[in-house]
Amino acid sequence: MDSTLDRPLPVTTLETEPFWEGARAGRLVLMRCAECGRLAPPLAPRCPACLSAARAPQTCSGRVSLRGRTVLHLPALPGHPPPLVVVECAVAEEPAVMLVALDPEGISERLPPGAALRLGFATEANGQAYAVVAGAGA
Amino acid sequence: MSRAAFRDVVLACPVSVPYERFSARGAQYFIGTALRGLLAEGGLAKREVDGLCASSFSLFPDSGIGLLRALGLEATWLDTIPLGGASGIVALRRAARAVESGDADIVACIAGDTCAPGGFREATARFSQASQDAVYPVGAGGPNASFAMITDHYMRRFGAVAEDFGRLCVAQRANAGPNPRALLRKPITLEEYLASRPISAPVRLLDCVMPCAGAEAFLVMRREEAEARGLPHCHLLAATERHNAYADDPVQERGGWAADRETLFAAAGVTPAGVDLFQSYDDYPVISFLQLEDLGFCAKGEAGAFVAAHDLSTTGDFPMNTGGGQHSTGQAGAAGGFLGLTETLRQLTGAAEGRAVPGARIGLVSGFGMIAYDRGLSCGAAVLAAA
Repeated sequence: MDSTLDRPLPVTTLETEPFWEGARAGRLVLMRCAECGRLAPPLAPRCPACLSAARAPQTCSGRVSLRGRTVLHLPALPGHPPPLVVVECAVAEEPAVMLVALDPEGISERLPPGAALRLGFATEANGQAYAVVAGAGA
Repeated sequence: MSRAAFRDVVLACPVSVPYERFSARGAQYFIGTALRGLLAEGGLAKREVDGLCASSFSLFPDSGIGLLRALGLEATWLDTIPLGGASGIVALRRAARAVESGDADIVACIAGDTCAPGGFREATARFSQASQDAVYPVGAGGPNASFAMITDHYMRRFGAVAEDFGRLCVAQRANAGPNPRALLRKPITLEEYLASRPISAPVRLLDCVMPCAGAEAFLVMRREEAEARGLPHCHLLAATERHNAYADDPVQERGGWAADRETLFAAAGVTPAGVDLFQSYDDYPVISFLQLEDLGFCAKGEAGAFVAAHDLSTTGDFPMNTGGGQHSTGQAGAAGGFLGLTETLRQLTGAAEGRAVPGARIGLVSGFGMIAYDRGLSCGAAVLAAA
């Protein structure tokens, strides 16, 4: 591994475990608040709307809409030589929840903002899961 | 409830510790050098400084308290502001209330950072837990990618093109020419800007601020203190800060300035048209665009046209980032959030050698900090007036 690419891995807490477990199984799992019903971003420690800790995991569709896109031209990820396409997407079930995903096949290229994408997950040899663009269209 | 106005608070003694692209020294060295500069500039004994407000990334895990010990300072008031590019404005606001209330008489506001080769990547890696958890696994942890997302969105939403950002970069670099403190002083052309290599498209090399080592500092005190000491100073008319504003905007296209600009200008008793010089927080041009719009100099989405229609030089019709900005001086970590204040203080006290804005009376300084992989979380602005 190129040591200049070393970065600390995500830290799993009790609050974020369902998301990471789901990710390793290829599913987008978010927490829905039992009190106000809002779906929280993956890493939120409590419901960001009402601060409740009463939440239940919900498997989402993986459908998202494209919000932002960048092409990394510098080495950024071990085993993934540049250029790397990274996208920012809003989750269909709750558009205020944004996810950042790798787009290894360049599916988002030439798609306008707001375009429908489908997210999946990939897992590195070290067990680290991350979101990837799996397809275009709803 | 309206906020209490600042009463007779002034800034004095701008100090800039010369920037270095890389340094093997520690953050405490640069901050200590700045303190020594403040004492020399103010003709002060060390014991006369009774407040310290410190900002630094590379000081970690220490904070202001460790600095007091390291620099042999005793204080009745101490604060550490971990807000990156918003640190200067926030430090000024904190220090102003401290001297107003009498909790301290003379507060040294200092931001400094070192920059070892590879240090920037390291600093990026431990910048925030949010970035570590949310985006490092896909490779997009640093500011280049974050600002690229914001830039990409801005271009699509408002029809901006690369030339719009390029004009600002070219103008700022021209302003750096007479600034001996700028690491990058050689003029650039729009063609060179457009030809610069992609880093995190649409962000190009010449969009990116250059990390370096250095420090910026100033003193905050009551007006009578500065007058009794015969120190050149400028007045703090108004300042605002806002954090985590517009959290539900899917991609950042405005900052907290938009929510506070009326408060800011009303408290200062000036209008955008009455501002003689403007220092934006300019780590990437898109963020300067947001500030031009959110602070009321032009409508949303029109910053590109505004820049094209104005002369941003010190003798132009809209002097902006008059020392070249961080984009030319380099970004010495948290000191980048102080640069606009030291530059404005120099301009308003007749100390901006070779680059003075003629007749400048009112300066607006803006801060922006803590990019949390998808947006900057802290915004602030201050209006300063010549004495």
